Amino acid sequence: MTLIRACLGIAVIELIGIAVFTLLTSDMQRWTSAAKFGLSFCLGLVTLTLSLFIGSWCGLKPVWWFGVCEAILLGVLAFLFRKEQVREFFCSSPEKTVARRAPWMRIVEVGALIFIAVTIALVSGVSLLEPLVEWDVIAIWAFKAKVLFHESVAATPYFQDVTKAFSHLDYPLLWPITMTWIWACVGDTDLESLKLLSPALLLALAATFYGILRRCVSSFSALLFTALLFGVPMVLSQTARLMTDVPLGLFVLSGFGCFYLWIRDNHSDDLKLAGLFATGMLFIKNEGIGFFVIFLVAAITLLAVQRKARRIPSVALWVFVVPMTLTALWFVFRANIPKVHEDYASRLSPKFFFEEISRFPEVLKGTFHYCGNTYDWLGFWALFLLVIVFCLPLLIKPPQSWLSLIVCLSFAMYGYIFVVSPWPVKDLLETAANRLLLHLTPLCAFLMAELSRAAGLLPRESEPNPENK
Amino acid sequence: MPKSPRNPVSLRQWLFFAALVFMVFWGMHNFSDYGSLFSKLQGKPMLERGSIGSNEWQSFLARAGRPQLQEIYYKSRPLEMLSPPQSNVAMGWRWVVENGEHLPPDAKVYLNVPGLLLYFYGASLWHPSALDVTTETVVIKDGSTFEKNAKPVPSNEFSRLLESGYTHVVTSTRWGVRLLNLREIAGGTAP
Repeated sequence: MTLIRACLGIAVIELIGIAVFTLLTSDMQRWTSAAKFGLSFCLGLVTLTLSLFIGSWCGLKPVWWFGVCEAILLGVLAFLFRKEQVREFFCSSPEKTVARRAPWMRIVEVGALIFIAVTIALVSGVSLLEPLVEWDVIAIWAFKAKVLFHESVAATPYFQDVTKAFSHLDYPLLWPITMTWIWACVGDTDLESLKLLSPALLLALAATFYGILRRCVSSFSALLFTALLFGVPMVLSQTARLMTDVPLGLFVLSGFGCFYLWIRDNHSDDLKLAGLFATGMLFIKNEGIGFFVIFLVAAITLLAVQRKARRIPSVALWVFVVPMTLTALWFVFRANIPKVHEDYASRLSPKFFFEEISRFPEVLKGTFHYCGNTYDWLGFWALFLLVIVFCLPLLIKPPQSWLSLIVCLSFAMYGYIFVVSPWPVKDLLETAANRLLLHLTPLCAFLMAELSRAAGLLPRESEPNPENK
Repeated sequence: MPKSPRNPVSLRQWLFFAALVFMVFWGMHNFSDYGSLFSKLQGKPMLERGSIGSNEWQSFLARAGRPQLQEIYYKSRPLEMLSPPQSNVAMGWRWVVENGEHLPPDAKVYLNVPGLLLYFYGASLWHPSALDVTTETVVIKDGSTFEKNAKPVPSNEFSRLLESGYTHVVTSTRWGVRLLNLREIAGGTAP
């Protein structure tokens, strides 16, 4: 019964996401079913957690009917105003001519699909059998979730209690509120029902990655790269353990992925989606603020390079106004939380960076050491490096150059933080390097696939079969 | 070499395809890792499953993303086969979960032993029961601030904790670390 209730909680997240997706986008034909369901889960997470946070700020404890009412309300709005989109969401897929594929390509596709399915089944099985045990998840994220389950953010003394500063009082609340939501549906704070989030997250990651990639490459290549991503042990282990780095990686992928699709196709739907996923980045981890700044820098650079003044209002709205407005209440609330941990913001000035520049070689060496750890990454980063070297000229060629810029800025941001951090490099790398790499893994896999396609490294499907048109 | 009807596959495409397929095959070792952990967990009660899951010597997931720990594990694996080392994390998790089951939600617990892990786990897993290591409002953000600020109370002064509103105390006894009801201690029924 507990598991069924938790399943219903996940279903409500998905339904809210579907409603928001249909309300936000106009053309469903552009997305595969996988993309629609994957992106909807991400949208559902953002919408539900933000509304639960606002409710909690108003003094309301999270209750199952809150989310159900929200799903019904958004569903009714979608049916009233976007009837056609709702129908197309469930009934249509991209109008693509059926390409004629060589039999070996079909075999590889089926093989990749089986690999992904078995991986998801096994990881989900283990995750469901293992209760919540991960140190960080218990001490930080589940602690916040438990606090919010019992008291509203307006009423609890937790956020001012410095004796619990080890749990990082000012960390964003998207993931804890998601956990609170599952517990609210179950009616108890047990350590097992929560783990249902792990299969949901795995499915959302697979669907989103495949779905966004499918907009750029053939189903053969998209499945192969999805299998590549789902072979990386670090992705699987951290999802199984409910670490918050995987959902951040999912938002980084969906946010920058949609932004890239907007640059390439110039369709406003993609920009709107990117704006909402950027909101998710801001509300899930502090590192998300850095990714949001990169999002802004990329958008401003794009406007400056393209010199299309008519694009400015929509970009300003979806890249800046919407994410900042939706998370404004959180940042106002966060400003009143006592700051007792290392203050990175005050160390971000270039003065600190140049004072500590001697740490840089150690950071670089350490990064290569961690990337090369086959226990956690197999050969993922080696392959990534190989593709980058092979496709070097493409890195500066639009539209891939924009994706490369975002990935470069992300690595540069983490490198900068590692240099200015007050902690010894070795300790910092041991605790943070793998997790930070994980934030970028899905996006780097996407970049790898896109560069490979542009460089002609991927076998192409043959011309459309006229009979199947 | 198989060919697509209209788009012949070039050598560099074959090489790149082979690299991708190799990576996917390499990823298949996850099947055995997760499969063996699944069979280890299956059919066991929750406390047992949690102990295995949090034990860095028994679960590869507990070592994931921690290269130094992985190195220690692989170096000591031959010894581990003979006598598996105990995991403080697993023991701490089990102790906190087991004891939390009997704790009333309005309990106020004083942690009287120097156990950072018990403090971190207990504060989270026992919530809404409160857990303190000092009666003062001080910053506890890591191991060093915990050690600096934790104020153990001598056992003959436990009545002082009761007067301060605490209902339970975690303390060392001759049977190991125990969660004791302060009222029962005052009434002389607890060890």
